[in-house]
Amino acid sequence: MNRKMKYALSLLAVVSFCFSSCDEKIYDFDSLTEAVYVSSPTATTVNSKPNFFTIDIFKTPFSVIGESSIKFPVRSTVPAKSNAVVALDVNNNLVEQFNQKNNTTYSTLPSELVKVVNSQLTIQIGNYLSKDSVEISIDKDKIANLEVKDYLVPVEIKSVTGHLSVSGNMNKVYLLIKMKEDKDNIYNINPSDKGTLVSANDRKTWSVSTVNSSINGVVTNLFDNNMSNYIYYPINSFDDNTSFVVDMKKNYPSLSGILFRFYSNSYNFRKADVYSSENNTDWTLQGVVENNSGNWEIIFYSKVSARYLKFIPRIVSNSGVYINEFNVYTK
Amino acid sequence: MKLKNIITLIFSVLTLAIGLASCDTDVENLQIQKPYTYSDKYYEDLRAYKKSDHVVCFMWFSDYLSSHSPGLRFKGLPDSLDICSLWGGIPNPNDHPLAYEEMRFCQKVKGIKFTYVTFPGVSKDKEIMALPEGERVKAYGDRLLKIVYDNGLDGMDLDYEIHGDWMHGANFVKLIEYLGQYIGPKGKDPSKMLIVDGYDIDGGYEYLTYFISQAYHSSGANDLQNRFNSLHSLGLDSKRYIVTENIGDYYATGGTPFTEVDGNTQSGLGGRLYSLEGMARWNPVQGRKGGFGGFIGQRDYNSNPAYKWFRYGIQCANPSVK
Repeated sequence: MNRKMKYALSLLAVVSFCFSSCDEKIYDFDSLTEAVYVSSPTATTVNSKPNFFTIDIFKTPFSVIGESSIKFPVRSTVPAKSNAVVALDVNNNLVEQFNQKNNTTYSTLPSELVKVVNSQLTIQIGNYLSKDSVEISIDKDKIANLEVKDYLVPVEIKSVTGHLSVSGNMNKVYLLIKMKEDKDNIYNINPSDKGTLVSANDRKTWSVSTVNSSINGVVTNLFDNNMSNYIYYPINSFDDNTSFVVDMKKNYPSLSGILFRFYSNSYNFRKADVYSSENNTDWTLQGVVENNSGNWEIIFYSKVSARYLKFIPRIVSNSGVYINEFNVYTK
Repeated sequence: MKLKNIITLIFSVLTLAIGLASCDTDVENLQIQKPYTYSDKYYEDLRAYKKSDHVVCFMWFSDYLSSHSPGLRFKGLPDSLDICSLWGGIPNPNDHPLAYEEMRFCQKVKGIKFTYVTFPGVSKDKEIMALPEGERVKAYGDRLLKIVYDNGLDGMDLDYEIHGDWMHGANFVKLIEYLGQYIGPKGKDPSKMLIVDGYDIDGGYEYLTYFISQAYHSSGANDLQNRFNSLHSLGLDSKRYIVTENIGDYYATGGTPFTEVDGNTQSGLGGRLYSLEGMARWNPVQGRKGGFGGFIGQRDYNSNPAYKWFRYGIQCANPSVK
């Protein structure tokens, strides 16, 4: 290519850039496509994927836990002129298409593990919304042997009766199942039944010992059910010896969990190892907790027998650690 | 450098400068836009959309006394606007025939709802204050209802700015409970909206069609969530919550810098995310919000294209179904 040609092309590119940079969209109401569609109306942030639901399922040493289903209705852009029956089904052929478009590597979940309840929904005459919802559920009993990875379940509207058509851009829902493994004894998603907290009266004599750290304040503030007082827990160094050990003064044979109430989520542990012991010598690691909340509810899969509970802080809030209350759950 | 190269360089720079200058999006008064015309089907679809379950778009509109620009006329409002609160007063057919006619057109053909807006208060009202205390709420409430019905409006928007008026505090809750028997979701005529904006009220949320937060220059999703949490604890559900920006002050950018819940600060259009778009996209963790909107919204007409931020917000909150 000679130099004149290069100049000409350069100039053309510059001029083209100027025109293309002037492209502006006009946003106004479009005439409606009379169609049935599905929508997750809260997924409207810039980076959210519409109609994309994620559920976490954990394989634990004892069972498979986590939400295992989603429900959603179907909608119409205009009131149905007659009862419109909308059929939906799983379409695993869409997984590869989704992966290519979004540069992901989600796997296909075997269809026998997915159950579709209410796969035919009716939008009654005059309505915009189906009365019922379709439910996509995963059989948790059957997925215990699945590999730990991410699975995608695409569900699409297959057909609709009457005058309505199926939307071309909002006719699919994607359910991402994130299969995870939880190898320790601490729930990643807490159950509703945590157990019963120990009363303030029964905690009057509890004490705390520390290593590489200290307690500033009255230690009984931790055990009095009074959220207006607290202790400050300054930490001198972070290593395996640094610890916060609670002596409950007697053995609790069936601990189901631990409760920390920090002053707020700006004055808390962010990550800590949790140990238990019956004799203050032999320690059992129950798990590692990472949580930015001002309330830590550490719930055990399997009940623990212990008199001593030890916490090795790994990460704490930049503002320091202030603890209002400490308690345990029993069952 | 050879003369030919220098000439080429100068020409390239000039071309680039002209190109960039041509992208100037400042208001250009001489730009004339041909009015759009629409079919009956278009308006039928528009009304169907307005009746559907969607995130509403709300605007306080204050200028209709001039007719020289669609930016000062109801007919210039975005078609997809849901509620226009009459911050500039209620037009009447004698004094403001054009505004009145256009308001009726927007109501009937475009499905836009118009509300009477006022600062509720009676302390300086001799007629009301002369009544026994037990009769004041009813008398004042009846007066408000009469204004709505006499003017063929779609409801009322009470701008609750607490300053110690007799009708504030507990008496304001009584007023809401009284009005709520007639209009709003629990009233005999739920087609007429009962809206409160401004300060939180102590109760009576179940009687409101919407509660509007003046979340002006909100920093982002966390701020909006905190505002809603306190209202939610008082009994307001997310679908009756509208968040608003003072777009009259910030129409040039579409609001103030806004951060989404995932930390995103980029607009869907590219560039910095500002609050009207952020509010349109935001939803509380408790569920879908009722709507979004802005104060002195007509100034967004000066954007290019007209009402750019409102229209884009409507699309963000209610993506088109194709």
